[in-house]
Amino acid sequence: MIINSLVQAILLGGYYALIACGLAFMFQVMRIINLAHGSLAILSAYLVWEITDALALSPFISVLMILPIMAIIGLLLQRVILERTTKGGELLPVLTTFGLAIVIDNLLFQQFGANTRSLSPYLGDLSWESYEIFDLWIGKLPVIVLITAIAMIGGLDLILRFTHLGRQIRATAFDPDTAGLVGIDARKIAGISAAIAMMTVAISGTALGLRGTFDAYSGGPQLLFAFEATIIGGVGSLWGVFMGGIILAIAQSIGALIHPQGFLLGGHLMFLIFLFARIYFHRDVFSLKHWLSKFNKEENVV
Amino acid sequence: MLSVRNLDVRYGQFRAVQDVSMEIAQGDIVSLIGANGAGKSTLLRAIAGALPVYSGSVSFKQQDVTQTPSSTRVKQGLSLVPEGRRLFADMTVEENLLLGTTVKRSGDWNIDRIFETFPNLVKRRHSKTGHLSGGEQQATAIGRALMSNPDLLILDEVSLGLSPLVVDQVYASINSLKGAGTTILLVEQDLGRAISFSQRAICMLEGKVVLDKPTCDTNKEEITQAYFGLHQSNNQEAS
Amino acid sequence: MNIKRSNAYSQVTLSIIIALFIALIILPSFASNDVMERLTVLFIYIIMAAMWNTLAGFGGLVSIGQQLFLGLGAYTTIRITDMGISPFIAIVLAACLVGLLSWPISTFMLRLKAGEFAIGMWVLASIGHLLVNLDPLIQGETGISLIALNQYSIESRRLFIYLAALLSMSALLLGLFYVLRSRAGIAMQAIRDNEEAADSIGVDPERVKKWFFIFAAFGTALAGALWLAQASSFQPKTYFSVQWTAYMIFMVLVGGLGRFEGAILGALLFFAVETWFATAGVWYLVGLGAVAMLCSLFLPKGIWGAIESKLGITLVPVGYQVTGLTTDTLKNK
Repeated sequence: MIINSLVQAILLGGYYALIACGLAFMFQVMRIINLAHGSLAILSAYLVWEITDALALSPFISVLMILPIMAIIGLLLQRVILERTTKGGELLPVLTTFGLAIVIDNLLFQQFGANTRSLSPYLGDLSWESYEIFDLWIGKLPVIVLITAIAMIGGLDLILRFTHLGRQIRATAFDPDTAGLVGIDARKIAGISAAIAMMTVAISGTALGLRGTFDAYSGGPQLLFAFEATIIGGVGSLWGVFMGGIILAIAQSIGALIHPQGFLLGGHLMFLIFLFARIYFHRDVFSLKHWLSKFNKEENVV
Repeated sequence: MLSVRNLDVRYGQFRAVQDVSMEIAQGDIVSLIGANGAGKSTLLRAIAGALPVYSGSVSFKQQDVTQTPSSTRVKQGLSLVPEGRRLFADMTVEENLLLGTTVKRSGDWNIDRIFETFPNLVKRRHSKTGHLSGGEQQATAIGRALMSNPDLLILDEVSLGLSPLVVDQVYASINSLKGAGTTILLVEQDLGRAISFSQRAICMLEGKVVLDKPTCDTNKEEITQAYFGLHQSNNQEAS
Repeated sequence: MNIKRSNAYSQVTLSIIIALFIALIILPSFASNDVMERLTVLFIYIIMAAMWNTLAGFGGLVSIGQQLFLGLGAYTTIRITDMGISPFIAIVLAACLVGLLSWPISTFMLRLKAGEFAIGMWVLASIGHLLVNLDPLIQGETGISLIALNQYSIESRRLFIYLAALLSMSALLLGLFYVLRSRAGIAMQAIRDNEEAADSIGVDPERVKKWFFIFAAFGTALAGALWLAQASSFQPKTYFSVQWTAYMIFMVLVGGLGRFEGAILGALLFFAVETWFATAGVWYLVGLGAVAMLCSLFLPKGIWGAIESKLGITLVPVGYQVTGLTTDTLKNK
């Protein structure tokens, strides 16, 4: 029973990792926490739903179609809003992206109404098919989401590590002024990064729609999940964010076991514990990035 | 090659660079001299486009670049090795060098030649630059700027924090650039070295240029006086 | 270089404010019920805007979780009246208790920066909501009424709530006025404007931020408690909704972030917009979000900031003057 909860939690954690990785990526590169992150994920979920419904496609095809749309939205977001606000200090990006979230949420409500939607009806058998492993029933869909999360974070990690674009992104994140002196067009890099982040948002919004239901105002909670996973994982490492997502989901499951209303509280409390640890016991001592890099060092020594 | 006219750079209300003008021709080797806080780094950063200009203009190769972003200036062939190296500390030497190729300017410099010029970097190729010695960091910073094949190389405080032996090595490598026709503008605190290495010395005091002469027409004494602001009025007339 | 309090005291403003206050006090004797109820709502909006402005405009702290204090203020009032204490005493007590609670929260949350603080507060608000839901007295999302109010007749209830809101608003604004004119307040305004002499005043901005945070928590809780008295029923979902913070942000951004008069102007505008357009439903909310966004992009000092810089008018002199500015002092920095 407990093992089953744990497995389900890890699978749910895959979704949290997906939604968090775009937020963390943008924070890492542009030092902006995008408060419209969750709302944009819901926007993509609706877009996928519309295309799937109108063209009678599989949601997996529809998401490919909205990837370029979200990339353009990301580029516009950077050029029209974020670029302007970051010049005005660190408060303005928070305010403008929050305003954007309100606009998106209510436009979605205006367009699609109060009914909850799901993408799972368009999946046919896949929505309920499961693997049976050691008496555990594991849904195929959550496994696909988890694998997508691993693939996406792994892919981003590879791009950041081994491509010229990745080096430019890391250099800009580390020191934008010097990046300019080396010849890196910080504006272009910020635009590309925002586009990449929005493509991950498109995928995570779709994952939410496949796994469960969403409505116009689901953006806020998704933002909180993404933020919590990012903080738990230790800001600054994508694999840390992956672990953060899983820890968040496990904490929620434990909360739900303790009290019927404890699901969200469990996650929030875990977030507070990690935040507390980060603030009071040295920076990032508790974060996974810290421990992982420690393990790596030990391996190197051996 | 580089023309600076009546340049003013301010931090808030503080005028760090005041009404500075200078011309640097193709192939010139120029030393910029001045005490701490004289405005040298500010001037160089403004020339490279890393600081906004309050008034005046900068033109590079007959093109006005006053409003051009720093990355575009690198593309046009103007590279700055900033004060304090400013390497990307969590990236390796090789990665730092490769970033220099972002602008894709053609020329003689490539990663192999950098390692030939700075042999001390070879065994550090895959080390993170945060873990290097001062000399290795300086070499990486210069190498990174050279990777863009600049026409004008600006070096801020090349020898700061380096042992004399390493300074000699760094200068030996910069010397090899002279032959290639690269124009060089560098900040040097060691007057003797500045005079012997460059063809021209520009001295700054409190944000203004107080001396600008070919090194053959001046001497250590005159520069020292300009450096400390002695006989300031005479020097201002001279410039 | 020195920074001094601005002494441009406007006698005219002062007399207008006093006259307005007296007028509002005697208003109930001839105003209709509807006018009184609407004015009560307006006073609460002004409190909310002024409190959010204290936090963001003067303290530099953007919180998306002020609904935490709003909800807790209302909830604590319910809890205290449940012990048999008069609702009007309960309102003040509740605000004080929430203010007290905000002290440990501040030591923790103020370590976070910009966006992290903003969403962190939102998470706290969510935690507050979930915890209040666990209280059996509240009956989950069903909520509960402020039954204690039934001991008063409808007329006197309306009058008391009107006066309570008026007095709370006046006291908070007066308190804010004096806080902003204190050394700490002047320092925070100078820091907000990036005045180079700000650090020469010798005020620890972190400590001042903490007091601003607690003051804003107290005031917002008071607003929540008054809202409860005026609406007379408590549903956790409504009170802990992020919508409240959205309203606060709208009022302050449009009126003028970091301008004393700005928050009041913003609340008046919001009140007017709500009165006329609330029937437009969702489009009204889209409009609010869009206007807030546009203001922060193109009019970062809001309408009042624009009026101030164009016409040079200051009604309430909370500002400061920079004196003795010479290049020498700057150079020495």
